[in-house]
Amino acid sequence: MWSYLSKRIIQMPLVLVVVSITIFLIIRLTPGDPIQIMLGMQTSPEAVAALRAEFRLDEPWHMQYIYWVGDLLQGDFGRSIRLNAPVLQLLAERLPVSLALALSAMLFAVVVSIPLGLLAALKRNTWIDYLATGYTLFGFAVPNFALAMILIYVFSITLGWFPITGIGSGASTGQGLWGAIQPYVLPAVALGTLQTAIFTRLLRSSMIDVLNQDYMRTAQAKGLQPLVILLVHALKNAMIPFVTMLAIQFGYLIGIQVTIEHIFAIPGMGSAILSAVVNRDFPVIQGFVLVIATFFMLANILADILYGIIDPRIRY
Amino acid sequence: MPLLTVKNLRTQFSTERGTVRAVDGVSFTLEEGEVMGLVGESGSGKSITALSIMRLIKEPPGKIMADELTFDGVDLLSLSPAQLRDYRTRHIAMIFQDPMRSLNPVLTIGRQITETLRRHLRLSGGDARRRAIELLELVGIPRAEKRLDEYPHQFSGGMRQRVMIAIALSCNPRLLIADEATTALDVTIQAQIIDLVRRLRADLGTAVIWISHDLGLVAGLCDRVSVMYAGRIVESGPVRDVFYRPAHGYTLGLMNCTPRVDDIGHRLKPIDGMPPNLAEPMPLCPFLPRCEKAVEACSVKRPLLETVANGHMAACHADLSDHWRKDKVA
Repeated sequence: MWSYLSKRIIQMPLVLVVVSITIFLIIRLTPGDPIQIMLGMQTSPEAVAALRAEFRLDEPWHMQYIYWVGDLLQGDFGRSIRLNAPVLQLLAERLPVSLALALSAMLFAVVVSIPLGLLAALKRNTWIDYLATGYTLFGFAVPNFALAMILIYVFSITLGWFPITGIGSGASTGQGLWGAIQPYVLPAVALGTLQTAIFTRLLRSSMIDVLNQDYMRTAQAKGLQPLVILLVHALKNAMIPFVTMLAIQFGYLIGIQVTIEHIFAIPGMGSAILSAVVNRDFPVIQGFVLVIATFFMLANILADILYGIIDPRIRY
Repeated sequence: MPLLTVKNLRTQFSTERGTVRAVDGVSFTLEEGEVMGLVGESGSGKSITALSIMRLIKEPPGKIMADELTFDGVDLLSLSPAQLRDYRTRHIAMIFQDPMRSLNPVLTIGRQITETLRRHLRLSGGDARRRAIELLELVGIPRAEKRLDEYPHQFSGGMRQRVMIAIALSCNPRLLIADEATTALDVTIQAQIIDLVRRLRADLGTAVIWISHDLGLVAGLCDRVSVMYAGRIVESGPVRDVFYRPAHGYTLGLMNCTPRVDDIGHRLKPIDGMPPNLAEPMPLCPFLPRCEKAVEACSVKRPLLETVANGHMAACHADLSDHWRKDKVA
């Protein structure tokens, strides 16, 4: 286990090098000059050149890369060209918001999908199963921004149960814990519905597979209580693919929040990357993509660890 | 009063191709401490008979019907699910066919043995563990203490089958149903298990239904044997009678395709053809298309189970006495 883990962790920097070179190249190969965009067309070529030199954009790209990595190794993510602020500071503002949103979307997906997937598998071909199937179809088919609009219309504008905005603004709409949770509800549902659908489908099919296994008949023949059979004998087996998917989807959720952030005015990583891309703010794009890639990899390693814990047959 | 009474047991499955009568009118009784063999080819209904007694048939699509299905005077068919759970493994235990797939892969062997002890005998964690170690030693698993914390994939097929047997024996059941329990085991281990079953029966008076393809094994272990074909018992009686003086064409066929140590050089004769489709009605003897001993009456009406000799019954029109082992008949 430990040797496998350390191997995986050693691999991480290598993957990050590949990711960073790729993103470095892509943003430099696409047209658009960050300095031109920022200063506009009327600026003197001298001023542009001076600023380019300040951000080392006049160097060949491989030299820029080496400088950037050198700074990174000293904990310096560089400065945003546009905002003239350290990328690290921007990350410190945005990352917690994105993590909180991803976690709440995940929580929603897990809390809904486990009972739904279980019931669908247990009550196969009954109305509960059809309801679950309908819900997963809905989750797969409806884009999250459209769902966000519907949720806002129904729960914010019509019913007034939840605020439309409020995450990260500091201005809480209510008091205490509920006040802190409230603004996350609609974004989490909008963001997590696709994952709910994925998890429900996965759990249903793996549960059906498990229920047909011979060892389930053994458990029945032992005269065990139905709840023990379900939770200990069946669920533990059915959770093996589920947990893997869980970790992978969490890494994914951090990276795909752009539209949801936009709709709910959430100051997360997605909107920061989006404006950085529009403004060709190279250091911000590079830094943020690197962080997202790191989280993605960590989520995958976590999946491997959990997999090894749940399934005794897996030994690294 | 017999320990187990099965009268006209019918287990059916509704499928898209019609109702499959997997067990179609099986009757027998089993006394305390009696060992009955149940033989027949794959699909003859042996396992379904066993699962029906355990009430482990999924309903629907299955359906269990019987004129009588009583265990120790209790009607198994009228038990509630909760009452049924109290019987399973506690009083009626079953060893399943496929040891490779009958144990839960993500639970330790210890957990899988102790959970029946804690559930039925209300043993504490420590007591259950001590009893589990005893059980593993009983079925001949060395280093039992250590192996309790291992998982099924760390056990060989034979070892897993012994674990299954240990689980089945854990609560000293009064009826043990063994479905091909030793088929996956080496001959030496097989002999040990058989020895164990014999001891259990002697010490605790456990009754056993031993389902097997192995006629030699059944001959050595059982008091009585029932031969199943197409969901029915076609012949049943004391082991010696049935094997030395078979009174049904199918039993004779089975005997002819079983190797014998006392008759080396004897050619084995396979039974040609396939077993019938159980979804179709069978107005005649289901074995008729494959039978070499068929007589005129066979194409007229279905033979009923009739007494051949004391305790020996068969459902066959033909007279097979020419094939009886004269040297073995007293």
